[in-house]
Amino acid sequence: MNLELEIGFSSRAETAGFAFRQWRRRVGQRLLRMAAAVAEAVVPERVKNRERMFAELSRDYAGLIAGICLSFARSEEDFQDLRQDTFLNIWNGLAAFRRDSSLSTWIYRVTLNTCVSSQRKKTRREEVQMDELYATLYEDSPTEEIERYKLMYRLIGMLSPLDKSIVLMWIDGKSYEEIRSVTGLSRDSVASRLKRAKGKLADFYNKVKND
Amino acid sequence: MEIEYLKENWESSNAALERGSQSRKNIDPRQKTTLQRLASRYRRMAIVSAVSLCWVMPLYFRLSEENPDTPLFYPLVMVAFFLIAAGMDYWLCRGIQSIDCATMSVETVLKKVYFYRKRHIQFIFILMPIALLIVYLMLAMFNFEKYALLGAACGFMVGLAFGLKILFDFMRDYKQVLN
Repeated sequence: MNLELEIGFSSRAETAGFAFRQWRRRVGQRLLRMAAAVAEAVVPERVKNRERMFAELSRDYAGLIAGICLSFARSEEDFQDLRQDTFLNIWNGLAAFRRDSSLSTWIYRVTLNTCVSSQRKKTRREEVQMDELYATLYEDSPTEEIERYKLMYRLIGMLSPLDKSIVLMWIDGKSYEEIRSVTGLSRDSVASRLKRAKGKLADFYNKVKND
Repeated sequence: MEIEYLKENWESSNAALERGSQSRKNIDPRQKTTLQRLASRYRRMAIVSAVSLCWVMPLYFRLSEENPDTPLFYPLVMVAFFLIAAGMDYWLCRGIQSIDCATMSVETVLKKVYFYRKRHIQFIFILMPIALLIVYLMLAMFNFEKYALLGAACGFMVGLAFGLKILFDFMRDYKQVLN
């Protein structure tokens, strides 16, 4: 093709320059395609699996994670921080997940560990904030249901972090063996702490109902 | 009755949270968790303490030019303070980084968190006398002038009040958590 005639360059230098830029663009595109192919071949199976797994976990266990974080949270800011930290720990821990336990047990482990490592006291202002948070989180639920959930979290919130962990797993139907593996306690300790926690919950429940 | 109450409401609560839009906010994987931020803070303080060693001896030499009687003891105390502070912060940083929420048990994480929190407070009690000694030495350099003494006394009272409050809060939480 005669570039001078087709495009109307005034000198050979301009023609050469244009040809060089076209060549550079084609080489650059070819290099990018090769790099993408190499990346596709070398890295992504593991990365894609991790991203896919994280997306599935975020979808399937979002409610459970939110419920556990709500049990430990002292304020809306606390709840958002705990949720964020939990998902970050799940993302970081997915690479090391060895499938020696079920996925839901592992989610319990990560979420409970994230929550117990961030414990602090609740102030009066935060109690008010929590009421607003419940209204936001349960926006589709009727008022009577929200009141029942608030009472449930109030009861659970009165336990120590370790007892809370045991009770949450137990009311979700986890076996003693799963509770033992997540909490790190012996089977007898789990049983005795659970029995003690049930007694405390009964006392708290009666006290709250009488109030 | 109350356990059945909890069981029924737990399932319906999680289902309601699953449906809610708040549960699905996007997570930014580039952010750090609370523990990672705490470890970063300790690492930064360790670096600041280590770097602070650099100005102690030049300051001593500068003061010695004006007052040749300035004892060598003064800068040595400051060097000791910064070395101990840097070592403690680095140790705490490594300790916090060793906590793995994805593989450890809940009891282990709880114990580690409270262990390092307790050590942090104990380190403060080790560094505090050295810091008080440094304040005394600096007051001596200013010949115990009235306003310097007043400033030191006010700082001491405020620091003591804050420190005791944090200590008592911590001891109360510690007893409750591992009960």
